[in-house]
Amino acid sequence: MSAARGLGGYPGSLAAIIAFSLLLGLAFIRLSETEEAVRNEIGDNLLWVISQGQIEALRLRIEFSRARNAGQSTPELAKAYDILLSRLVIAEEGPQRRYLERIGQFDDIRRISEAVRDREAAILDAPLLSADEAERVHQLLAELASHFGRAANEAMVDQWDEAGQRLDQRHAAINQILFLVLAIVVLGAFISLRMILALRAEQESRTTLLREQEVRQAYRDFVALVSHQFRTPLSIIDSSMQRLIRQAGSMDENEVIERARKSRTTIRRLTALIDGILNSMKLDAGQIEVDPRDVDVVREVEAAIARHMEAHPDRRIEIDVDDEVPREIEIDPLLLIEIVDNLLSNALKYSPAGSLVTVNVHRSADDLVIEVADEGIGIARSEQARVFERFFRSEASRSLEGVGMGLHLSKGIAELLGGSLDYRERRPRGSVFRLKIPIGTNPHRAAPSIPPASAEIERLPRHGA
Amino acid sequence: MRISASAIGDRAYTGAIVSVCLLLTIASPARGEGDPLPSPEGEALLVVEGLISRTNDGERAVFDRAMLAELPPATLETSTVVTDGVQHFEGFYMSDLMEAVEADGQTITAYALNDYVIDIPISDFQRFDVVVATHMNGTQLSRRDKGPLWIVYPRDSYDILGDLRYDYRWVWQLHRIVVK
Repeated sequence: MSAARGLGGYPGSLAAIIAFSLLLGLAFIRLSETEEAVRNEIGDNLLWVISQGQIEALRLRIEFSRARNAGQSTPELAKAYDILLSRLVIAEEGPQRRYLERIGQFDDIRRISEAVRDREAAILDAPLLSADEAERVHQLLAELASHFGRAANEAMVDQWDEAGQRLDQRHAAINQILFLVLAIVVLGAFISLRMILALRAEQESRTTLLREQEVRQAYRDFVALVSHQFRTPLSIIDSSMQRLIRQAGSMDENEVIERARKSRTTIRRLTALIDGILNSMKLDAGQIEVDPRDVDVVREVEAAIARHMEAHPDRRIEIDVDDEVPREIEIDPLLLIEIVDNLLSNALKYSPAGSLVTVNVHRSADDLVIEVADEGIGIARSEQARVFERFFRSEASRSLEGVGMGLHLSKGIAELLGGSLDYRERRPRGSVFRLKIPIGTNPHRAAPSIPPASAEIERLPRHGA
Repeated sequence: MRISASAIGDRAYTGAIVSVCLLLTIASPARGEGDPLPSPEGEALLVVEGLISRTNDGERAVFDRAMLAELPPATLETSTVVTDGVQHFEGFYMSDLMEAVEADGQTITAYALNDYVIDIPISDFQRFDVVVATHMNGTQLSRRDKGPLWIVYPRDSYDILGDLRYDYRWVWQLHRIVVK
């Protein structure tokens, strides 16, 4: 939208289109005008008519001499005279006459033509004339030829001037047309650009709309999931308490303790769930503070493993530590173990009882690498790219507990510590999650938007194993 | 008709039939191929040669004014390139002349008295009713003007005849035509 406005908006487009059409129309008019001017070039015709007069005057002179030499009038003499007259008639009428007048040759030609006509009898009686009279005829005809010659001269010059002028006009017209075409092309480009931008803007808004819809849908799914996952443990606790109330008198001590313990476990799980959600929110808001300390990472990981095995006595978790791993690393242990806990609990949750979970700790260049591998159901190819998305739950995990926050949170914390978390398939079956944390200078993102003095900064509460 | 048994009667009858047939053939006014044109009596105005079948002087067809006047009359009102205003022409149709000499070609070459030469497609004559004028505005065209014969197109009736390339077909002082 803004791009469209940026180039003049809708009024701009309309103006461009109107201008475009106008210029196109103008170009066409100019073109057809030039076209018209090419025709109707009468000047060439006149030159021919004039030169004809000259030729016939000279031819008459020849026939006149021949007749005198032959001693008698010849039919050729009569014919030559008639034809000369016909040329004079043409020169004296219509457009031809007007042209001769325009180039200032008409009066002379008219005068001599009259003189020739007056001498008709003499000319036709050629052999009977005296030498003097014959000479006068010759001179007359010569003068006529000469004047026609002059007229041809003038006509030619006049024509060249005209042609030059016409060329100038044509050049001007063509230049105008070229300019118009250029303007049309520019406008065309402008309009096309506008259209492309508008299309792109439409495309963008459509994509945005789609994404918004996706987010809304994910949120709705999350809310549904969460409310279900809260209600289930709450109703378990409630029914347990109900039974306690009803059967308080008939239950023995062990039974009561057993039930209470079960309820506490459920409560702990619920609390963990709430913590996880809250932590994720905090991560997004940049409200998590990193507190690096000198830590024996291996010991911390071993402690985490021990906790998980205590909670799941039927499962085995093995640890394998490389020799090159330093014993002391500067890192925030709580955040680190947050991730390790999440990976371990996922590994246990998504692999069958009896299968092995392995933890491998080694060093790779400047990074500490902790890999948690299981032999479980793994993640489908189509879902692997999305597994770190918030709220994402794979098809296979629908039946199990969880709201899809864990991996998203873990990845976020890993990046907060300056490292990374990724996944790869395990052959023949299972998953490997690899956590990489830089050792040494340990760059980490400072808490972005909240000043240290604020009371809102909290340490992440440690949820129980 | 009863056929007479007499031999003399038969011969006489046959002879009568043959004579009548001969007479009819000779006296027939219908034009056959190679049927000659009448010879000119006055001054020759127009000579037609080339791919023609009707001639009166060897391979040529020579016309005097009287013979041309025998062709169906034609009139034409039109403006021309060399005159002002609309002129009234009388004469004959070129297509009628072509028919009179049984012309069998695509083009004619027209020659004028001053040796002007031009080719004209015969299709023009069918398409445009081209006239060979002998009179203009009631006056007989003379050799001292554009006569005695002037090829005239109906310029005002067809837009295309305003094109420059028809102007040079208006042959004045026409005197010879060769059919090709």
